[in-house]
Amino acid sequence: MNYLFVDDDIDDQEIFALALKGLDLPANVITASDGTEALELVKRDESFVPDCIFLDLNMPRMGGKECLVEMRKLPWLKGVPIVIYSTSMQQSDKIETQKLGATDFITKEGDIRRLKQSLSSMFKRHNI
Amino acid sequence: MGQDFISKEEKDADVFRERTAIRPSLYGENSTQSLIDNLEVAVYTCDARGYITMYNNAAACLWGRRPEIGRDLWCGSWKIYELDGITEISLDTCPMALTLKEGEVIAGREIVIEKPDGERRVVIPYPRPFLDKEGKITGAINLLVDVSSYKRIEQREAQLAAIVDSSDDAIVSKTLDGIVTSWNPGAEKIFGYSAAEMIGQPIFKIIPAERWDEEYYIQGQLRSGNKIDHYETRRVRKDGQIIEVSLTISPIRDKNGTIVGASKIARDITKQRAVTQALQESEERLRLAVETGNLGTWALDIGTMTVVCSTRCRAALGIDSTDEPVTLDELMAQVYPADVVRVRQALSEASDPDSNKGYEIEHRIMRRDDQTIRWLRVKAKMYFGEDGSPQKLLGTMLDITEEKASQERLERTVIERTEELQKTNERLQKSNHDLEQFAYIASHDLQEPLRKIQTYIGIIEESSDRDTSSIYFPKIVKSTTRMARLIKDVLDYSRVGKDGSKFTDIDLNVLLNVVMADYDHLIHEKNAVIKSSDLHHVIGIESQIRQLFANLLSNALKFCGPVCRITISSDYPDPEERNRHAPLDPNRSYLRLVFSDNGIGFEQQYAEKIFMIFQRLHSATEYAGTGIGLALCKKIVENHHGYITADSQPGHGATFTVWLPTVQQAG
Repeated sequence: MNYLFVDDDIDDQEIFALALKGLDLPANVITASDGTEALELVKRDESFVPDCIFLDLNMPRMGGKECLVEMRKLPWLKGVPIVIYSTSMQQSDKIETQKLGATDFITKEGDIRRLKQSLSSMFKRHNI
Repeated sequence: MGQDFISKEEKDADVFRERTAIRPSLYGENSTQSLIDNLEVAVYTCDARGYITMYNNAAACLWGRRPEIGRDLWCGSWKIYELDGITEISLDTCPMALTLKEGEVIAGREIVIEKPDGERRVVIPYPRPFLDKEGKITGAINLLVDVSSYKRIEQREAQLAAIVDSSDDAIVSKTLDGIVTSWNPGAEKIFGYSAAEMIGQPIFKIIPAERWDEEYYIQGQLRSGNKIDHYETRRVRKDGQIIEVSLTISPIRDKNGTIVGASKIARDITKQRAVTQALQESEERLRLAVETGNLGTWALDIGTMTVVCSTRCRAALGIDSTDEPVTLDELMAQVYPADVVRVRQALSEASDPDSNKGYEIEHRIMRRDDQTIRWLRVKAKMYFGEDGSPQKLLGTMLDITEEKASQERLERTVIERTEELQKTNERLQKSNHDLEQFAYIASHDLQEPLRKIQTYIGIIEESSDRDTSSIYFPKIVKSTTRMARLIKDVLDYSRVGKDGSKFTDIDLNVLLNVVMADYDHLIHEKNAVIKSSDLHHVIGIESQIRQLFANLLSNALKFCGPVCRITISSDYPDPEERNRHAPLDPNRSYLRLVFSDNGIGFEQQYAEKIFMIFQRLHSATEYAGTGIGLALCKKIVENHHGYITADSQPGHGATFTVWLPTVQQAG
């Protein structure tokens, strides 16, 4: 499994990896610290098609929403699930990102158990 | 009554008598005829057929002619009338004729005899027939009693009685001792007592007890022959009501001049008194009102077009204090030109009897003495003649210049306050908005380290590996530290306000040196070269400007590259230069401060974002900081009514421009 994880926070990158490990889902996680970097990564190599892309919303330079829009323009990423991974609990963000093409929305939580559960359910839902 | 009545006619009779004094009669001496002839009463006889057979001198005098014996019939008069003086009585129906024809004795009938010269006498004939043994009329004798004088007296008396009877005033006569001898209907009405009740009674009946000595006084005056004129006093009616009266009392003399009584005319003035009283009170109130009100009073006579002005009026107009009236033209000349039309209009409307409008207007005048302009409030009422033409305009005048000025001041104050209020409202609204935004962002960013702490504790709990704790506890600590910093920054940001802070003159060169001293360590670490020109002075809150400098300097130091060069300068750009760069108040002058560095720079598209609280262009690991520094700078600059902008290109350093007003207004 190849995942693209886009988040400027190093701690969050680490926590994500820990969560995956806890779920016994070995995966290769490629990180980018913001939307700009992430786009560079996918555009540079068209053969690089991750199994899932995780996007934070609050990032310097290009944020998650903008990145989502740009990514959905790329035809070779068409079938790739893009999951918004954010601290936001706003219903408006969920609705908006869904409209913009997000596949799902996971809220970053303090409770590691719940986080793992969300991830697990999400994977199952979308057959990842 | 002791009045003499010697009429002209009687005098004439005297003269006639003298002229025809006792002398031998036409019919022989010492005869009956002679006796009759010398009688003063007119006598004549007629035969059975009515021809005059004899008459005396008195008759001739009365008739004013000498009738022909045996020729004139019935009477020697020229003409006879009824008492009305109009209805003529034909001679053959005169009393004498009736007596001769029918043997009637008519006594006491009054007739009017007219002499040939037109003179008239009132006469009562007393005809008596001569009867023979058989009772047949053989002739008649007639006595003509001249009652003209008495008639006149009678008429005069009747006239006087009528006057007395019809008068509304009480006309009363009394003896010197105060016993009522006559009491007219007017007295009955005023005092309530009938004539029957009062005649023969003492006048004291209508005098209130406390005033009885008045009557003694009056009697005293009368005895001395003095008249009492319009003496105002009180009397009591039959029903007990007290009335105010005005008395005129005159002594009555007999024909010898002796005072025998008094006539009294009493007029009920109760109502009049009340009206006069009310009028006096009213006048008094008016006087008080005018005095306390500082009102000037004036009267315009429409006929002469002159105005009489009171002292206050003249003072208000700046005219000399004399009594001379002023012409309307002179006054109109003092009316402020812009108000002349209105004044004329108001005068014209007031002069129209149908308009029912009084005269009421506020207008300006120019004082005659010093030419200053004053505001007057003028009110007046127009009085019209019977033909509806305006006669007099009576009015008041008040100088209301102060009142007008304070009213204007009040209005201006209200407008100012309203504007102030609006501005304050706007500020509050903005402040509220900022606060909401700030609160949201702040709490949001504070959540992050907390979340992480929670996660790490969870991981430690789940793991049985002791090493895990050693890895994650430091991370926990790091997060708590971060939280503490965030909270401090939030507090600092919220503390940067304006209220209670003093604006002072700040020497920016001195300030820069202080700030550089604070950052001495970092400057050396970075090998930074800081150049500055004369930064001038600025009026501001010292602690905040210092914070501004500190943040901009630390920002420049943080992002500078291997060779760190920082330049700080200031100038006073002209308005044109200003307008090109920033949306500033055109009515103020500004100092422009420029901080430029040769660091990593940033993309110009983020030039506004960087001033937003907690917004960062780089991740926390790359460049430390909570992202509050520049937001704080912006807030400080706004507190000083200034403006801050950033210009940059990636890799080409950044320039921060701060605009600060040279003069700070209150609020």
